[in-house]
Amino acid sequence: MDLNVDIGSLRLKNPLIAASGCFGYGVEYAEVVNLKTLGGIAVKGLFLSEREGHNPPRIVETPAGMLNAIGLQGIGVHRFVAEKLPDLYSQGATVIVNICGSTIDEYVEITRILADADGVNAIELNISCPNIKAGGITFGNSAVGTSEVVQAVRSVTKLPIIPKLTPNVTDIAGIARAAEEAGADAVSLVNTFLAMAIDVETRRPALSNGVGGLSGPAIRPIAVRMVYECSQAVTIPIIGMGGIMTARDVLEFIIAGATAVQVGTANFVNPNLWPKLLADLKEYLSRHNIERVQDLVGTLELTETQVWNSS
Amino acid sequence: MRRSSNSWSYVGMKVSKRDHVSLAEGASKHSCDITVTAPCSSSRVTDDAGRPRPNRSHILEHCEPSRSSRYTANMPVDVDACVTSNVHLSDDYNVVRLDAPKLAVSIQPGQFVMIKPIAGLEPLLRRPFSIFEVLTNRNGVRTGFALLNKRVGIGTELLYSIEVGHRIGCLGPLGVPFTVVAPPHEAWLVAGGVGLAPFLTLAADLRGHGTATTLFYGGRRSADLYYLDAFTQLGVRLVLTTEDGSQGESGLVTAPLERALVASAVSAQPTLYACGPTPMMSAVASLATAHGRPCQVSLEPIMGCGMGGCYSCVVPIRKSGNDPAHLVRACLEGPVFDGQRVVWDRLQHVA
Repeated sequence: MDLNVDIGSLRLKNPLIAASGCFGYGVEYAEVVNLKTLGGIAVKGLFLSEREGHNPPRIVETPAGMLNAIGLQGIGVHRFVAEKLPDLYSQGATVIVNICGSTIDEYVEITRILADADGVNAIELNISCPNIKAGGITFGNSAVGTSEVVQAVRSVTKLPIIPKLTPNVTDIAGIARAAEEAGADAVSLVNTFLAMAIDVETRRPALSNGVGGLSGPAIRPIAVRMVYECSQAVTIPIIGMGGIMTARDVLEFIIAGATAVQVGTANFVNPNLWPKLLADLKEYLSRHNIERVQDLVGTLELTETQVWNSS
Repeated sequence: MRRSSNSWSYVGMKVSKRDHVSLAEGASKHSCDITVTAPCSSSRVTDDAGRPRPNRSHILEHCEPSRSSRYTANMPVDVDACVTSNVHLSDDYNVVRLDAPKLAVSIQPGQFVMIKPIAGLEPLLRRPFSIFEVLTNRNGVRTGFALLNKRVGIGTELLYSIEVGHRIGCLGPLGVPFTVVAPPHEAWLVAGGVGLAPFLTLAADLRGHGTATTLFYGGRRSADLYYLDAFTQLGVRLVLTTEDGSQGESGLVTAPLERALVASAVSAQPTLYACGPTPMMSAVASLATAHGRPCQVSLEPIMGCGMGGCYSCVVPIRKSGNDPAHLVRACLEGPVFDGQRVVWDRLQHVA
């Protein structure tokens, strides 16, 4: 059985990737997860410099999901390369570095640093974090902004580039198309949905940041629809995510058109869900006589009346 | 009430506070059915047979090496632990005992577990709990642990009404434990309300070292003071306060603590340990500083994963002196911190 999937020039040993922001820098989980068995690890979003992030409370639980507004606390790309990357490399992890910038120059600078480091397998462009005011989402909110960032980063690296898209737009397929035309190797989607929860006793937002990003099973059907929508608009691979808890959820994304998937919030509940996800995925493929997982990508069966295209 | 034919050693814990932030509580409190009654079992979370243990110093971002090396002493496991008893102490408090030998074997005082009372999506995330007691069999072999629970939200409500035979997902032990002092030092434990949680295990460990131990324990009223007999049996001296004067001294627990610090002989060399409401811990840390005594505090921030993955449980800590504060993950670099390194004004502001 062949579980390999290709994201541009990068071959993943299986389609299961730990989602950025939900797996620390990977090394935190080395005691309970054999890191090299994952298809990939998308590490926590990195700016050029260290960032403090928002004050707590940073998370609040909501029905079948959670809101977060961490504010991209992080150690910056230099400390990541010096302190975390060698450990990931030595453990055989496939490392997708998620990067974020306030300016296009910052994306380019971070990319240059990573391109010179050993152990970076791909770069995920965070142009979709809903929790910071400047940068990132400023670009991801529009096709033009997305295109500018992708083109700039493309010009300085041959590493696979994966812009991570926000669902907080009217036309996500249009943005995916812009990313492809600008030279992206794949797109990943979706980041969290901008959301708010209120403490009715105090009449204050539950999060110190006021608003946050909703993740977890609550968002999964919307994410699946968006993956399907984008799969109709682009030919590059799609990495799907949004509330995956089980292999059944993984399969839904793959059938909708995702070549690989990322698992985020479920890590918090069960940090070692990976072996079971993989085993259940294999069981499905075996039961359906599918030799290569890539053969399942985008195999959604539609009747004539179900064919739907947003654009 | 808490005794059986088995003997067990006492370990400490504190109650999860994350439930306080559950917004969906009213709507979902009764939406979860507890149906798991499968035989008790446990399984190791890791499949890393033969792999070298990762070096924790790469994980911690603001810690001294001494603390990080201590953290390498054990590795967390994920077990489905069977409930062996659920004793209600009051309308709000209960103690749940769990059969979990693989997890219990490496517990150190001050550590915590992330628990999921039921499978399913409501509540979705695990809750952090201090370990209240380490349970042992007649031969002294560790068989499990107990949680002290106060019902305040969805998760704690489920745990309050959990039935014997049900299984609870438990990930742990996690976190930096207390540093246990030995003679000639004395240990003064300062607990406010449910902040008693981590001190039963700590007291047992201290007594094992032969360290003279005093518990300063404050509650609102006499009925809020639990497990006094257990501490007495360990040889711990008790100094009790209640806000209504119904037991011990009337007022806050910091009053007799301050008098004791003023009166203590130089030879006593007490190390302070504090757990309770943030204002209490802040006051204890101030008193410790004023009297030149070391102070370890156990903080209780809202926690998402317990593994260092989510960066939710950060608390403001400075390396020393007047250094600027860093927001550090309490699950990895705590929950036990040097009280003098906590930036209390900011912690109270954000808590």
